[in-house]
Amino acid sequence: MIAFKEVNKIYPNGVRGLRDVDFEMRRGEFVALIGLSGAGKSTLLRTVNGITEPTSGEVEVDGRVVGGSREDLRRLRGRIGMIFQGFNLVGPSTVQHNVIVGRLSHKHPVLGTLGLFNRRDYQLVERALDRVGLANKLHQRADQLSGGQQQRVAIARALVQEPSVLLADEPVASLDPVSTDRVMSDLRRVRDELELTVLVSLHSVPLARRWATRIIGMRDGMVVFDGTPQEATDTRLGEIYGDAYRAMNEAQQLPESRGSDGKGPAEGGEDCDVEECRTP
Amino acid sequence: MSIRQTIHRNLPLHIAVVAIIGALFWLSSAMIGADFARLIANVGRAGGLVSRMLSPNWDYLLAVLPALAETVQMALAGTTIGAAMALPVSFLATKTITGNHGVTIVVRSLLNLIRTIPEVLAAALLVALVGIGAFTGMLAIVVFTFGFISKLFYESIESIDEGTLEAMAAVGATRAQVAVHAVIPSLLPNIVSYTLYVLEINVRSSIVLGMVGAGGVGVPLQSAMALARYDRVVVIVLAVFVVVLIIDALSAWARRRLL
Repeated sequence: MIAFKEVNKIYPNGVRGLRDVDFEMRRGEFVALIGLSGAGKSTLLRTVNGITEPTSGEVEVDGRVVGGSREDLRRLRGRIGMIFQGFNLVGPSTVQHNVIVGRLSHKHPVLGTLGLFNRRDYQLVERALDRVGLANKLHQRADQLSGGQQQRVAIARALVQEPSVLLADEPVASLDPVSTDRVMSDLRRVRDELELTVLVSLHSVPLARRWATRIIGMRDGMVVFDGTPQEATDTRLGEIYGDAYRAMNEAQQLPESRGSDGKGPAEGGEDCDVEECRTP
Repeated sequence: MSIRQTIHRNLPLHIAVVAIIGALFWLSSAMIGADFARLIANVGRAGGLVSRMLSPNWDYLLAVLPALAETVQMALAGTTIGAAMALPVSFLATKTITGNHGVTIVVRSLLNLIRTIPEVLAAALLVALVGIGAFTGMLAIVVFTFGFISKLFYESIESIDEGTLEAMAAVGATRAQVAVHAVIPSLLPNIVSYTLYVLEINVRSSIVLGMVGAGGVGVPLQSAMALARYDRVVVIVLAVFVVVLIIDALSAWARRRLL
């Protein structure tokens, strides 16, 4: 369960990331966050695992307020998986190494630093890779995989955390339509099988309709739509977003034009600057 | 159309820069009394030198091999120790892991200081301190490698992809874990490549070190030159040439395998 309580975020440069965000997610919900670049989707996701700290208000995950000491945050993040548009794997490392780092927060810090993982950790890695269909890539270098495969390795990394919540920041924005489908269905399947609460930001309204159980629309840091996929009709969203809605819809009418080099389109000022997104 | 509207809009500036460089060149060469005519005029003397070098004393090769091996050993040991010391220190020289600006400034200042010491000077000082020999030469190489390679290391640590760091933060990794499981593996190709590059430099420079008494093949080279035994000098030069070629080829191969 995730609860946002009057969450506001104002960046040091004066940009308002979030305005009075207030909603709850039940366990097992698959929520798609939609909105244009800069609407606050990434900021919202990052308040859930404390990578971004709200200026006011608070976020609760499983009844516990996000924040506190570095140790508290580490423990909390251990239960929250996150995947990214750019996959964010360690390219020269093997798939196995990339996935097993998901176990770090569950171990004694010294053991984790020394890479002393136990049998169960390795079994979890194999099971997670099996779930995303990459069990045969265990010892391959991560940067030798295709974009879609790399994203599924990232999903496996999140799964070995044994999380209750899975966050995904534009997980398919750099992928071709086939890989997009594979990654979305993997996310949906692990949510079904493991009863995870999933929060995914997407550019594409049709994708949100197809995969999510609930859609939350954002604009200028505010939640402007919150409803079921059936309620998120073109007319309704068109009313809320105006001309911007056409842009949102057109943006993913042309997935081919994005190329499949794994980089995707340049994110023109996505809602947090690099300094802010980094942890202390 | 004025020049301002074309791709040559900075032409006046470029002309000025070239003029300044030209003036500096002329001024410097005038002040050190550079005289290219002298170079041409003395070609005749070089003929004598070359003819003596054309009759290399191959028997000397056997005598020089141990010194040559010593040079390579100095370079290998010095590079390894210097690079191993540089790796942890270069983490302190960036905010990437420590998040501490103060430490970064102090460590960088120290590294800058070390880098200002020319290697031959370090070797000469160490000869005075520790005495002559290969160990002293190795120490000089450690100092040089440490100063030089830590800059290469910390600059590549700084260039690491922010996303990788964010993903590590998101799984709840500690700073040390981020360094061990993300930063070092990401940079491993760079680390190895830079170390091999510095090794190449060190094999070459350890020859010069011998000339101030710091061991290696520079020692017999120095005496052969002093005795004008060019038949020996040429053997040393050719042997060094072959060794440098081999080291370069090996490191190129290792780099290709890794990247």
